[in-house]
Amino acid sequence: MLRQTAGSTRRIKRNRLPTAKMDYITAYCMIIPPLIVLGIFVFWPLYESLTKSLTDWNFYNTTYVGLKNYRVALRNPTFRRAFGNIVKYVLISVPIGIVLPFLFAHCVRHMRGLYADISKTALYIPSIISGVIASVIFLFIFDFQGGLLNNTIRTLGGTKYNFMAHGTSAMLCIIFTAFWSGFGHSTLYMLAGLNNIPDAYYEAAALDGCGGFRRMIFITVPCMRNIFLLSLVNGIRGTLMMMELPMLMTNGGPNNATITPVLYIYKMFSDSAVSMGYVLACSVMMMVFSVSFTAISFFLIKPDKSME
Amino acid sequence: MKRILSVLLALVMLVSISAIAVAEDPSTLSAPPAKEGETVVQFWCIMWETWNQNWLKTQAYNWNSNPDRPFYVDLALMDGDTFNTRIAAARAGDGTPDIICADYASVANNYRNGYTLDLKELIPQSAWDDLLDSAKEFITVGDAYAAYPWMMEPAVVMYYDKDAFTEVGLDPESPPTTWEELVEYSKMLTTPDRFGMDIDNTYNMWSWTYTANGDYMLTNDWTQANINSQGMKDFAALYRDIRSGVFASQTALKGQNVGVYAVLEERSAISFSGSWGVGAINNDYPEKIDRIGVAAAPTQDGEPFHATSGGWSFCVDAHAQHPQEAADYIYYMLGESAENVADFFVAASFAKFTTRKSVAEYLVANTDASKDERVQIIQSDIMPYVVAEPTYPWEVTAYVGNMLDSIALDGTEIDEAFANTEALINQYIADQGLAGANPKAK
Repeated sequence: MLRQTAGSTRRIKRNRLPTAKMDYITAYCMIIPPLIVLGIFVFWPLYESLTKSLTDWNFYNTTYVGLKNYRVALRNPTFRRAFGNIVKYVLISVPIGIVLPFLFAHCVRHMRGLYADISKTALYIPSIISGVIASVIFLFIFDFQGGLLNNTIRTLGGTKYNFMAHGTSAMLCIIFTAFWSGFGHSTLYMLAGLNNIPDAYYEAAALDGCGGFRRMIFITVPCMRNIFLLSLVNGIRGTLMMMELPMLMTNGGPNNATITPVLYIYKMFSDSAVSMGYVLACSVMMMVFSVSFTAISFFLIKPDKSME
Repeated sequence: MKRILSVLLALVMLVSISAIAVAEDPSTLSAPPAKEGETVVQFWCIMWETWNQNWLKTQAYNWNSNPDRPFYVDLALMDGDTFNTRIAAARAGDGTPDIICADYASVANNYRNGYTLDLKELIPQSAWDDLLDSAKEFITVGDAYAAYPWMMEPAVVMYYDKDAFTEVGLDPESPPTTWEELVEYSKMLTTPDRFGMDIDNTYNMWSWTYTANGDYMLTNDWTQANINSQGMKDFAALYRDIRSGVFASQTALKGQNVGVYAVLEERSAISFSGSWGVGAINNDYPEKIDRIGVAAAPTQDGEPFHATSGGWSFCVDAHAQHPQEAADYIYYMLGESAENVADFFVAASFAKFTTRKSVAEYLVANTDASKDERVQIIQSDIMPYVVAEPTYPWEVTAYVGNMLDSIALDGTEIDEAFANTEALINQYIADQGLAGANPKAK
C-alpha cells in the first residue's frame, strides 16, 4: 500500500491482511460450527442412509443388494399410491394455504383496536395446537354418529354423511384440518409482508387513477413475492412431511386413499418383518422427491430483492 | 391488570407442570439405587394400563429392595411408539437393553433377525414344562425358545348390550352364533342413535379372515397367497353388507381393537374387541358390569371362532451385557412363583390369561377367577380355539384389509378384487424374498 505524505511517497508495509480477505476468514470461521452440526446430524446420517439403503440391513447383519430396495419400493402399489396422494395434497392445500391467508391478511390489516387484537389472537391459536389435538378435534366434528357437522346437517334437514368412509371426502377433511392448523401462521406472514409495502406506492398509484384490484396486481403481489415463496416452500415442505393427521384421522385409509409417504415409511419402520434397508430406500426417495419439489418452486418463483 | 393476569397465568402453568413432575410413584420412591459397581440389568417395556405398570414396577421394587440381590434391575417404561424408536436407535448404536418385551407376532421375527437369544438353556426346565402347549407354540422358533410368555389375550371377543337385546325382544342370554343371526339381530338393534353392530379392520381382521379362510393369508412356506377360498369370499360378502351403513358404521366407531367402548358408550349394541375389554368394563364402566355380555364371535356355520391370541412376552437381547442375569430376572417375574404371577391376573380382572398350568390352577383355587362368568365364557368358548398371530409382514394384512374395503366401500366385484389382491401379494412375496422365510415353518 502506498501512503502519500508531504513531499514523499513511501511504501508502508502492513502486517495485516487486506480487509476483504479478513472478512472471508471471519465468515468461514463463523459458518464452521453450524457446518459441523450439519455434518453430524444431517450429512453423516444422509451418507449412512444412502449406503445402508443399498443393503438388506437389519442392524446386526448387512448384505449388499444394490438397487433392489429401490426397485421393490417403486413397484410397491401402496408406496406409489402414497406419492400420488401427496401430490394431490400439495396441489390442493398449498394454493389454498397461500390465497386465503393473503386475502384474510388484507382484512386484518385495516382493523384497529380491540377487534384487531382479538382477531389476530383467535386466528393464531390453531397454530399452537399440535396436530394430534387438531386430529381429535376434527374427528369429533366429522364423526358420523355424533359429530358436530353431521348433527348440523341433520338439523337443517339433510342426510348424514360418513366423511371418513370415502377417499375423496376423507382427504378433504384432512386437508381442511391441516389448513385450519396452519392458517394463522400463514396469515401473520402475509400481514408482515403487507405492512412492509410502503404506502407511497399505493398513493402514487391512486393519483394515477389505479383501482384497488390493479393496485393489488401490480404493487402488492410483486412486493410480496418473497413472502409467497416463503409460504410456498413452507407449505410444500409441511405437506410433504404430513403424517400425524392421516395417521390419527384415517390411518391412511380407506383403502390407502389418504396414506402419505411418511406414514407408509413409519408403518414399515414399525414392522419387525421388514428390512431397514428397504425403509431407508423409501426415505431416500422421499428426500429426493421433496428436494425436487422445492427446487422447482424456487425456479418458478425466482426470489428477488424488494422493488426498492 | 393485564400484567397481573399474565403473571397469574404463568404461575398456574408452572404449578401444574411441577405437580406432574413430582407426582408420587409409591412403588419406586423408596427403592434403593444401584450400589457402586453392582451389575445393572436394563429392562425396557411398553407402558400399558396403570395397574399393568404398577405390577411391573412392584416386581422391580421387590427385587431391588432385597439387600442380597445378585444384581440391580433398572426398569424403563415407555409408550409403544417411543419403544419402537428407542429400540431401533439402540440396535443401530449397539446399546440395547438386556430385557425387552415383544408381542407374539414379533418373537419369531426378532429371533430370525438375530435380535434375541434362545432362552432354553438360560431358564430352568421346570419353567418350560409348566407352560401351556399353545403358549409354548407362540415362543418356539425351530428348536429355540425365543422368549418367555407373559400372558395371552384373544384378539376378538364379542361384547353386547343385554339391555338393548331386551329392548328389541331378543334373549339377552342368547347372542348370535352365526353370521345370519349377527346380521338379523344387528338390523333389529339399530336405532337412529345406535348401530346394531360395529367392527374394525385392523388386528381384528386376522381372526375373522383366519376363521373364514381356515388358514392364514399366506401358505405355511410363504411361497404364495392363500386367500382364494369360498369361505373368504363369503366373508367379503358379509363385510360388504356390514359396511353398507344400514346396521353398522361404514368406518369403525372406535380406534384400533377397542370396540368394546362402542358398546359401553351405547353407540353400538354389539362390538368386537380383545379380552382386555373385560378389564375396560371393570375399570372404566363398573356400573355396566351386569349389562355387558361376552361371547365368542359368530361364524358362518356356528363352528368355533378362531381368535388370534395376542399377548406379550419377554426376551433377552442378543447383545445383552448380562444375558444370564436378564434370564434370571424373567424367571423370577414370570416362571417361578405361581402366586407372584397370579397377582398380575387378579389386577387385570382376569381379562388376560395365564400361559402356565400351575398359575391357572392357583387362580381357580385361590381367587375369584372361577366366579367371573365372563372370564369362564372366554376360557371355555374362546381360549381352546385360539391360534397364533401371523408373523408375515403387516403389508400382507394391509392388502387383504384394502381388498375388503374396496369391495365394501368402492363396489369392486369380489372375484376381481380377490384376483388383484392375490397377484399383489404374490408380487410382494417375490419382491421381498419371503418364500421359505417363515421362521415358524415346520
